[in-house]
Amino acid sequence: MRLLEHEVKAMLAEAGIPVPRGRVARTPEEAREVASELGVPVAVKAQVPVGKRGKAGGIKLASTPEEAEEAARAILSMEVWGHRPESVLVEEAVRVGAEHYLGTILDRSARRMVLMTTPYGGMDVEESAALHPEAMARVEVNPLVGLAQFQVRKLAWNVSRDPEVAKQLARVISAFWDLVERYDLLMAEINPLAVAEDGRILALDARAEVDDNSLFRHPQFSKRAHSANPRERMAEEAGVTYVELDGDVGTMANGAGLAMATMDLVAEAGGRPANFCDVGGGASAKAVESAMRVITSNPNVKVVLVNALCGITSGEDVARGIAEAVANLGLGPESLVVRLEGFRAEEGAEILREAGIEVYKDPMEAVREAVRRASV
Amino acid sequence: MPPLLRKGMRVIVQGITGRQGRTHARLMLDYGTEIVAGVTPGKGGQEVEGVPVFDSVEEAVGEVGTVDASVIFVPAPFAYDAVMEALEAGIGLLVVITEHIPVHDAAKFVEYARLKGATIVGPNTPGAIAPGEGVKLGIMPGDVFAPGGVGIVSRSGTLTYEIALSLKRRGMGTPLTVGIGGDPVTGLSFTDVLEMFREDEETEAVVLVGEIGGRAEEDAAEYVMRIGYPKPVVAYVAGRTAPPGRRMGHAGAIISGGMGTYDSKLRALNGAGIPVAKTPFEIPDLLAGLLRR
Repeated sequence: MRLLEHEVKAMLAEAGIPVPRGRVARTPEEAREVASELGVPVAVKAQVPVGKRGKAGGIKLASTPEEAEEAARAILSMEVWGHRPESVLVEEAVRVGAEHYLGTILDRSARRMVLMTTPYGGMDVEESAALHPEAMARVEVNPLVGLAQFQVRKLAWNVSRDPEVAKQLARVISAFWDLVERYDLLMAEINPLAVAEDGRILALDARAEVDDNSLFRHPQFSKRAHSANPRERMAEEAGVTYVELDGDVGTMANGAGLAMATMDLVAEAGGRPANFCDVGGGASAKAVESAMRVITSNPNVKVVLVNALCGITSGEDVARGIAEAVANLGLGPESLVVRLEGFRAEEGAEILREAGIEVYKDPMEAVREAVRRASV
Repeated sequence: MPPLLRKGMRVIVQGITGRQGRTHARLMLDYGTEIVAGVTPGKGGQEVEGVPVFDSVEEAVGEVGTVDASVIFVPAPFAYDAVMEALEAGIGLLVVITEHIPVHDAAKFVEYARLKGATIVGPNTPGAIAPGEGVKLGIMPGDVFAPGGVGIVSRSGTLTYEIALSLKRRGMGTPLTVGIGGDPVTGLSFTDVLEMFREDEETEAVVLVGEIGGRAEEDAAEYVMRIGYPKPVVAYVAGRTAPPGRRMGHAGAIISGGMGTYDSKLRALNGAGIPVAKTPFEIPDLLAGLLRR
């Protein structure tokens, strides 16, 4: 789960990492009030869980409270990379001397988190990292040992050899790592980590992603539906894994790998998958029905391809779930192509045939039929 | 048969009193797996499917003697503790079926297993199966796997069953199939399992079933090329049509920051001389072609 900038900054502040003074505003009027309180100039920043907001016009500078109000009005009515901001962060505009970078990410091959710093931070950190690869310091953190002081020094010295600045940076890096561990962060970034003209070190912008699977121990991040797509939100609430694409062949499978493969097969047969949908290896009747409801509520979907390979689950149960969903949703049998295989698949096929639904054993045949129906 | 699984190995099931644990203990027993004990804290003294249940791994080991492996069905919030308990008790092979374990927890127990010299399969894995030995540590349906010479290593569940079934229908089988798990951090990598198959006499070829996200496939390709892998390897990679930035069911299946794309994996695998099947159903043909040579 991606946190919003103001949430990450609240964390940083809690850990003793300096951030600019600021407050969240939900309306343009509130933004004006915050700006008067803080004193101008201020930055007005869209609160959306994506990066590169500035490039999408989601960050504006204001030199009067009225300008802050206008900026907030504009931002609150725009979309930033597909997300509609529900609030803005109004912050003191800081005069920056230098922009550095501090970040952490999971290195899956090493099975460890890595921490990185570069003195060349700011908006185009990717480009500058490509330009100055030697300027990026990188340490792997042993999860049983934690971040060692020598690693902190390496990261800090990479940014500045000035002992006073390096000391401040070391404190920031240690505090930052504590947050990564405390809040199960899978990615976190302070960019720019700025040295202001007055010598203060400040986290000007920050991002973080909390591991969704850790939310049971972080109830403060109540699981939120962060998709802008209503069907994805509906699926999330029903506990079905669903990701929408822009094609017209709805797909459903039991198991994530098989669900991905099913989309790929549709494309391979010349069709365009409308979604990814995994109802789980067990494919309970209830999950199948919820999934069917979500998939068929997408107006682009012309036909639904169900690919079920039954291992432990009985094909009969899966078939019953499909038949019930079709009846409850009032779908025509022609809107469905089912491939059912594995444990008690014959019995399941019988149930589906009685409901007028065509059943295939061969997955490629089923895929081709679904693609054919979508194209007529 | 690579020595990961062998006939007669003594197995415990942690979380045996839960719905999943109970069901799969039965199915593993039916397949021939020797389950000597179950563990659920607070449920000691019961019996599940004729298997005695203990309150702790330590007690189980004390009572039944040597334990070679543990299959773990403990729910995610308690899985870290269960894995550490098994490692601390000296069990050398852990199959962690549990899905949704936090990444930081997995990173810790994987690191601890490395220190202990233990092997972790998973988390979020269907497990491992050796049809010729009659041993299954996991939740895969036993009947789709036939004994034979094609090693399978995979990041997914049902997709693996699909491939095993298509091999079986062509008269092929597997000495050992290992699901490494669909999470971002897993105990075994593709490379680790390829290494198990490398010198194994029964293994004639290996099927690698990958998916988008991470660079496990790229790492495997690099390894195959570097050591001049002595056996044919064929691959299938799921997620060619997956959009970037979206998690495709598995926590590990995500293209992020341009990393983990299908194209990158295809290039790496092809570059290492590993043919990549367009569909899972082409795999038997690819294998037949390579093995005939």
